[in-house]
Amino acid sequence: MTPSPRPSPPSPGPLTALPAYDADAPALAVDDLRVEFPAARGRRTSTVVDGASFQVTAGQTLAVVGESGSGKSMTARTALGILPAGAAVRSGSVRVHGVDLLTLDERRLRTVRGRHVAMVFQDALVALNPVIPVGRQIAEVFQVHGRAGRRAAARHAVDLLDRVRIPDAARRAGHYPHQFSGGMRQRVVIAMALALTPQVLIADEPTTALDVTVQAQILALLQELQDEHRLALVLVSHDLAVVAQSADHVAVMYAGQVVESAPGYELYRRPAHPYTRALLDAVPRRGRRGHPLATLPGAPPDPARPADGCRFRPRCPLARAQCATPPPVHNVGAQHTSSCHRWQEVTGS
Amino acid sequence: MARFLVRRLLTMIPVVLGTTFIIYAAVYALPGDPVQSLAGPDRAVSPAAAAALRSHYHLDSSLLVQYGHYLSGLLHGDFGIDFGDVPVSSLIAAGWPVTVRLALTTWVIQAVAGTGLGVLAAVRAGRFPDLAVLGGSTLILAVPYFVTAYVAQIVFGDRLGWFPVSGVDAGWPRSYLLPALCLALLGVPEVARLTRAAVLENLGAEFVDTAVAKGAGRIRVLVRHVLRPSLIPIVSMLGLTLGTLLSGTILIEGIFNLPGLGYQTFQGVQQHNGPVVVGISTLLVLTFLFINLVVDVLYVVIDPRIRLD
Repeated sequence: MTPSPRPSPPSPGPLTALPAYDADAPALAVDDLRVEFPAARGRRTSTVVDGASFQVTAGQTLAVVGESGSGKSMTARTALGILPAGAAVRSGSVRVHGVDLLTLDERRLRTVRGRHVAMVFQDALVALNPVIPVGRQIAEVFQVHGRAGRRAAARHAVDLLDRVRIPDAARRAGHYPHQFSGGMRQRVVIAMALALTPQVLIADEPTTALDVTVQAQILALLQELQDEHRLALVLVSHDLAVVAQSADHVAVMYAGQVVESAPGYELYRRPAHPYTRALLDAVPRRGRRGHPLATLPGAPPDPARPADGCRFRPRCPLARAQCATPPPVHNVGAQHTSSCHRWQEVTGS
Repeated sequence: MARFLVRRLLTMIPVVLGTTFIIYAAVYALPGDPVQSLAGPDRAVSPAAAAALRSHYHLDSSLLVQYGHYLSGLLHGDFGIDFGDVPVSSLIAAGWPVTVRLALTTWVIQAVAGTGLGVLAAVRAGRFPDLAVLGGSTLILAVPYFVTAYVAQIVFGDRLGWFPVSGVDAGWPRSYLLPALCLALLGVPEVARLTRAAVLENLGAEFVDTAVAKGAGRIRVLVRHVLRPSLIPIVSMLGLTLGTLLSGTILIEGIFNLPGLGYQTFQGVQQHNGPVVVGISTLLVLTFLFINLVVDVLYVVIDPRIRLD
């Protein structure tokens, strides 16, 4: 599409010009977010994110961990305003340096996407347009934000491919996604997300579709780029082993709620929620060879019919009668919280 | 690409031989006597004159010999002469422009209206425009198109007088619009439904989310990231449709008295005029094959994942 010559409406101006903008505020702060699929014909209201809160500052990595259906991807997508059709934000806020994205109109939100908040998707093969060369897809970021003309944008795209260490970047820019290996494709997606050096980078299961050695390379690349640009990195994953080492802070989600939140090492050393402990027990480790790997029986609750009280109660080995009342958020330690009535037993054991 | 083209052209040879032979044999097997129908049903033909005619047109030879004669002529670019001693090539030259104009007009209407309505239905899926397209296309498909054609002639041709009812005297586009619209009604629902399905599929694709996450505007997302990948099935269908239109306009040419190839084929069959039927059919088969080839090459342009070799 060639840019049309007709005068475009005045740009809504940069996010930094908004009165709410505060450079010292956390790069991303999600507060009491609630997302649901409202009831429709024959369907009950499904609450997929239920009061989730977390924050991440520039240069820090936050890992959001949980099994499929825990609401972690939904939360991540809310930060970009790309919820699936039918989903609606009920309450809460998603602030980028103090500016609540949920209050912005679509036009201003568009200036935030890709510019202030960018996203790396899970499977680069489906996240890239199959019929457009990768260089053009990266260049598009500059063009839609009016940062460069067609030629300059194409040059920037090659530079970015080079920065994510794709060999022979100038030639590869003209190739299509299917001509790349899985790891290289993910590098393309990362290059695209980094094009305008956003403040917040959300990586939704960035390594799930890759094999283990490539996973490590991609995580190392993300970390390196984060250090270089002081990105606030949100790493969404179902794999506690992948993220726990690299994350400054971990938020564990279960059935749409953040059930435990702690610095990475602390969570590893002293889990304070039975769900976190079950996740850690399910990670294969040296020294546990020959022992069967622990598994967590049961399935997450149906978001349309949540259990009363603690959501984890039906699967919890420690469940007692008191768990039928909603657990409050307990302070376990510095920056460490747990939503479990019996957290002391978990940490003590 | 070159290897692909050569291979495809080679595979066309048996197809052309097979189809022309089948058509030739079918005309040969038609009941009735070509000499008699040439002379007229009520006139007696003297045995000597009949024998002379048979020999002149090779009608006394066996089917294979006749076909051989025909084929060798065809290879020299000679479509033969019909029973009125008119070269079939001049009949084709007269009818071809009419059919091509009708087919292309119809095709453009189908392509524009079909994809437009399909996109509209997809982006408003489940709501009024979608249901209207679905209902409208069901209604159109339920009515035989010669009924639509006669009604259109009465309403727009006769009552309103917007278009001529028959013939091509008013030239393009006036003479062609009404038959083309009637013919397009058949294809529009098909194209619209296919477009709707393809667009809906791509609307839900993750790369569309990626485009939105980049900050791309709605139009850009729709055109570059939804429509572009949706084109593959649409182009293949439109290509086949063009092939069918160029060869399958017999009925509508009859209703609107358009002296195109379909009309001539129809008359040829009625008059047992073998050379005309076989000649025009052969040309249409070749056209159809050629368009298929063009569609296959277009795939590569639209979808870089497809390799022809």
